Amino acid sequence: MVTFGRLPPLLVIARYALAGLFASRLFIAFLVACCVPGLALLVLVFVRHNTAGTKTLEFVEATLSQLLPLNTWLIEAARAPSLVVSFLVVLVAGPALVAPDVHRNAMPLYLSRPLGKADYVFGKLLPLLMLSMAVAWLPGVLVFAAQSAFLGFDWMLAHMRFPFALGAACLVWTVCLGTIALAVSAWVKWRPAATLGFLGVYYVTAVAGNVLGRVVDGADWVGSLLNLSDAIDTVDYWLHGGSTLGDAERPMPVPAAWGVLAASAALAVLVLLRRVRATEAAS
Amino acid sequence: MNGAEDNAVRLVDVSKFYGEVLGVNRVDVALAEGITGLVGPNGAGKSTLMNLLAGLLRPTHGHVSVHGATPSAPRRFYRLLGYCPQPDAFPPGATGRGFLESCLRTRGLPKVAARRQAEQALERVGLASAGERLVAAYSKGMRQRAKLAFAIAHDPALLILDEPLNGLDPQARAEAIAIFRQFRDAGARVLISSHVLHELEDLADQMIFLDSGYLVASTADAAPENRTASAGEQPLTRLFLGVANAQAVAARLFAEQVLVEARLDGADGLVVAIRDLDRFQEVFHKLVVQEGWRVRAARPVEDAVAATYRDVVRGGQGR
Repeated sequence: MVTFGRLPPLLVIARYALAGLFASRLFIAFLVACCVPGLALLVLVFVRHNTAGTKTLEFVEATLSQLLPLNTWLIEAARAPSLVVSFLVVLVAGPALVAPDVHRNAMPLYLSRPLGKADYVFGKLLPLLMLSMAVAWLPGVLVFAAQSAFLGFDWMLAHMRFPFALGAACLVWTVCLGTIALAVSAWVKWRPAATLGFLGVYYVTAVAGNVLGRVVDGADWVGSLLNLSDAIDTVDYWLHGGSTLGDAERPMPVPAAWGVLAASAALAVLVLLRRVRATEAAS
Repeated sequence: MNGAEDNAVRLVDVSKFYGEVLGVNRVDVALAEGITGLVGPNGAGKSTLMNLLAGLLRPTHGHVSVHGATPSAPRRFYRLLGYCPQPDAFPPGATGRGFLESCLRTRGLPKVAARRQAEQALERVGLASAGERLVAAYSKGMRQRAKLAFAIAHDPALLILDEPLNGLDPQARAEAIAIFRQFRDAGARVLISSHVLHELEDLADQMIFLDSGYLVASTADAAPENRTASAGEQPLTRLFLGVANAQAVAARLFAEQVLVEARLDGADGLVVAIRDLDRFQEVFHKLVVQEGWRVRAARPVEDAVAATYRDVVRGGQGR
C-alpha cells in the first residue's frame, strides 16, 4: 500500500542530496545563472513578435530576421546551450554528491539500512538529472511554447519533435557525464580533486581521441570513440532528425555514438558499485 | 526453517578473507538473548565480525542469519537490525534530526512517523535540544550519541554496537548503558565491542573472545571446545593467596576439587582460578583451621573477563 509521505529509498537519498546542494547559496546562484540563456531566448522571441510601434525593436527584429531565419534560429539557439548547461550542472554538483560521503567514511551509516548500493548510486544521480532537466531542458521548452503561442498550432505541430529531442539529449548527456562524475568522486574521495578528475577524464580522452583519429587511417570517426563530446553531438543531431549514418560534418555513425555513451556510463556504474562500499578492504 | 532458527542470531561457520589477509576464520556462534560482549586486541577481527553480522561484508564462507533473515533480503534484515559503526562519520551538511529522519524514511516510514521516531530517539540519547544543529558541529560524545540514536531509532531486535562508549563522559556512558539494558530487558539481542573489559564484564551476559581472526573463547552458544563457562556456570574468579608452602596448599586445594587452575607466584604465593567461590571459601576456611596454614593475604587478582582475555588472547599470540 502506498502511504502519503512514504518514499522509496532511492528517492529519499535523492531528496536529501538535493537538500544538501540547495544549502549552498552559491549553488543556487549558479543555477539561476544557468537559466540566463533560456531567459534571453524568451526575450528574443518576445522581441521578434512584438515590434510594432517601436522603432528600435523593429530594427532589432529586421536585423535578426536577416541573420537567423525564423524557424531555424529558435531551434539552434535553444539547442546549443542545453548540453553545455547540463555539462556545467554535472561539473558543479556531481563531485559534491558522493566524494564527501566516501571521504568521511559515512557509507556504513548509509548501507546498514534497507538500501542497496544501486539505490545509493541512482539516488545520487537523480538530483543531477532533475537539475539538468530544470535548467537545461525546461527553459528550451518554455521558449518552444512561447514561439508556438506566437506562430500558431501548425508551427507547433511541425516542430513537435524539438522538446522531446532536447529532453532526451539532456537526459542521455547527464546520465553519461553524471555517472562519470560520481565514479571519479567515489574514486578520489575529495571534492576538488573529483572536479579536476572529471575534467581530466573528459578532456584527456577527447585529446587522446583526436590523436588516435590522426594516427589511425580509415574511418574519420575512429578518434571520436574516445570523445564524449563528439558522441553526444552525433546523438543530439540524430535525435533532432539529422542523419543516422553520419555525414561530412558529423562522420560518426549514430550506433557508434550511442555505444560510446552507453559504454562510458556502464563503466562508470561498475566503478561506482565497486568503490561505494561500507568497509575498506584490508591491504 | 523452524521456529528456533527464526528466533536465532547466528554466524554459521563464517570466514572472511580480504584477498590473502584473514579477517575472521570459521566463526560459528549464536548470540543468546541479552547483551554479548565482543573483546579482542586491535586487529583481532571484531569490526570484521560486526560488519559481517550487519551485512556490510559478504562472508567468503558461511552465512549470517538474524531471526531467519539474511542480508540478501535487505528490507527485512535491516528492519531487524540496528548498527552503530565505529567510524565517527556522518554525511556532510546533516543535522542530527534531519539525518535520523532520512534514515527512518529509507526504512519505509512516512514523513510524520519518521519525524516522531527521530524525535524519540534523540530524546533517548539526550540530544533532543541539539537536533537542529549540524552533526559536524557536535562534540565527539554527541556524535557518538547520534550514532547510537541511528542504531536504536527503529527499535531493532538486534543491536550491533562497535565501541559505542568511546568518547562518552561518565554520565553519558551510564545513560547509554541504561539504553542497552532497556533493549535487553525488552528481549533484544545486543552485541557490544569494547576495549574496556571491566565495563563489559558488568554489562554483558555473555562474552566472545576473538584473536587474530579466530574465536578463541566464548560464553555464548558456541562449540563446546570454545566455551569458558556454559550458560548456568559462574565465571572464573582469580585470587592471589599469600600463604607459606604454596605448592602444598595448591595440591591440597586441588584434592578438594575447588580449583580450576593454580599457578605458583614465588615460594609463598599462589594465584588460583575458582569457579564456585562460595564452596572455595567454605573449604579454604576449614583447611586453614585444620591444617594451620598461615595466610598472609587473600585478594582478587583481576576480573574474570580480564583474566580470560589474558589467557586466551594474549596467551594465543603467534597463533
